[in-house]
Amino acid sequence: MKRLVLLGVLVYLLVILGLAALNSRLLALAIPAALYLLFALAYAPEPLQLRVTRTTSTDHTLAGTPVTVSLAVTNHGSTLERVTLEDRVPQGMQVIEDSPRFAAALGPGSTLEWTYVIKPGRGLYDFEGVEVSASDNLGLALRRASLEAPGHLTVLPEPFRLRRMGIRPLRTRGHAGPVPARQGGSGTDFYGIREYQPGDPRRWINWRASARHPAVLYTNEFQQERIADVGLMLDARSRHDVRVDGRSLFEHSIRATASLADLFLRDGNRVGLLAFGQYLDWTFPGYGKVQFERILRALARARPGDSQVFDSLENIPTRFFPAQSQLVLVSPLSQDDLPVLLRLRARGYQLLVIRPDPISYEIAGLEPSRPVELARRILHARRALVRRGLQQAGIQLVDWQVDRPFDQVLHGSLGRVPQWFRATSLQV
Amino acid sequence: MQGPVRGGGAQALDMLGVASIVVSCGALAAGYALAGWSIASGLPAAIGALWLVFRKRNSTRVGDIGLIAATGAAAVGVMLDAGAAWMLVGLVAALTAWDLEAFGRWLQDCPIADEARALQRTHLQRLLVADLLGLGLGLLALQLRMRLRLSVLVLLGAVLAIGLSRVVRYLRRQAE
Repeated sequence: MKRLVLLGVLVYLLVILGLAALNSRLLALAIPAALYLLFALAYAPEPLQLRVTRTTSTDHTLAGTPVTVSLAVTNHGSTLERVTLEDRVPQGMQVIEDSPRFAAALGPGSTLEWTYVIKPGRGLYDFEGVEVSASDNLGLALRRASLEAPGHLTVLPEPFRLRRMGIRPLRTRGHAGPVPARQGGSGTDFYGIREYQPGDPRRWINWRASARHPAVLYTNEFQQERIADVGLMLDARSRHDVRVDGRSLFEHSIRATASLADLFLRDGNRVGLLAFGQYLDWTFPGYGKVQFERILRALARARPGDSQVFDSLENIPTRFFPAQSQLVLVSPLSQDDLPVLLRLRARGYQLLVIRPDPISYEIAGLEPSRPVELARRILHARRALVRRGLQQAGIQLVDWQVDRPFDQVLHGSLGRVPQWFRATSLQV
Repeated sequence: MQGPVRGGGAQALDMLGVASIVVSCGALAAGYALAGWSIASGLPAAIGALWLVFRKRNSTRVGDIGLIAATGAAAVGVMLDAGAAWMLVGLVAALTAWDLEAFGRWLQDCPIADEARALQRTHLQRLLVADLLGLGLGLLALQLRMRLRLSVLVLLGAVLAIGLSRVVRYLRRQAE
């Protein structure tokens, strides 16, 4: 369009100048450009009758996995001497091979196929369509159109592979699982002794205790192992997201949440997810691979956002989670979140907080200087204060510098259960 | 599929573009110099040099500015009674260089080498026809001498106005 206008203006200027100056040679100068324009208009493309179909190598994949997008355009109209097709690649996708733009000539009835490879980040993507611009061979008379070529791609977060980790909620469910249930019965770990009852296996009799009290027989009890309810809570509040060089701390929180969901579901637990930020996204608790897929999809659509309602943890509805179940909060946390967590703990929830470290994440992208160092120390002191508050309330805490492997950090922090935690667990 | 075409065809197109700029500015400069405007002949030469330097930027604006400058130089040359034929040759060559730049840029999006070569051939054929016809008719027009009466001038003005309204209507339809 621009080129056509430019040439038209030049032709008009030359002609007007020639007429005004009564100089026929100026008019002669306009002839080649006018002829060029005439050629373009004579061969201008007719209304476009194109149809596009799109296929992707998969409709759902893990973040960072290359996906091939194939497009086929069929011309149901007249010959298009020059046609440029450009697929509108949704934001968040990176083209790593070939190009979403394609230029060619397209005869009537012919089909043009091209592919390109993208590397998408986590998210739900809708392909919008293909922009087409067709022109004459000289590229002046343009005709544009936007063709529908719907496509959907779900890119799930890639979980870390985690080793097994023990949780100890106060209440467990009825089915056998890996979580110690705080109830005597059949199991492997010694729980206590009680008076023998008919039907107890003889090998469970505690002969040493029975020998001390000849009138009564005592039987060993073992701790029952059950599955538990685990509620994952993902903090998607914008104010807790830190962005450095286009990378986001929130993405690490997402991957950590996905990994924990995988871990707990592999152990047979019943897992639900509550993501809160701009709005609440609640994934009802469930079991198994289907539930894992549901959680991954919820994590794929999670975006950091702000809302006045969920700005404070105060308004997060914990009724979603069964009483005395295990809650896992993935959040960088701030000082004002502490009272709410203490209240949850007081209500009997077993709390595990995974705290991605926003300070080291942000400082890694800054030039080292005295003010930066001072700020780091102040912020670390504030974080230490929150840490102390959580630990005093018996809340398990994992401080995670996201450049370190999550599995290593998790087991480093929770591998050895500290004395204070054992004490708080056994109090109930 | 591969990336943008950077084969022998693209190189030939590049060389043709450079040659067109050289011919355009050379013809304009020669026209000025032969008419005795030796100092003014530096202007087209400077335009050509700048065009050659900036064309590597692969920007549409360079070609556009080059064409506008060359057209302006040709118009001024004609008004200064420099050789009109030289000016005409310079303008046609500038038009060719402008076209080849845009075409080369468009062709980069064609990843199939055979297809690119075929497109290039077709384009050059049409461009050659347009150039030769334009040059021929232009030179013929330079030879013609006719006295324009007021009525003819009015008629030409009317044709211009109608043409302009057509172009505006066409552009508006395109924008919709």
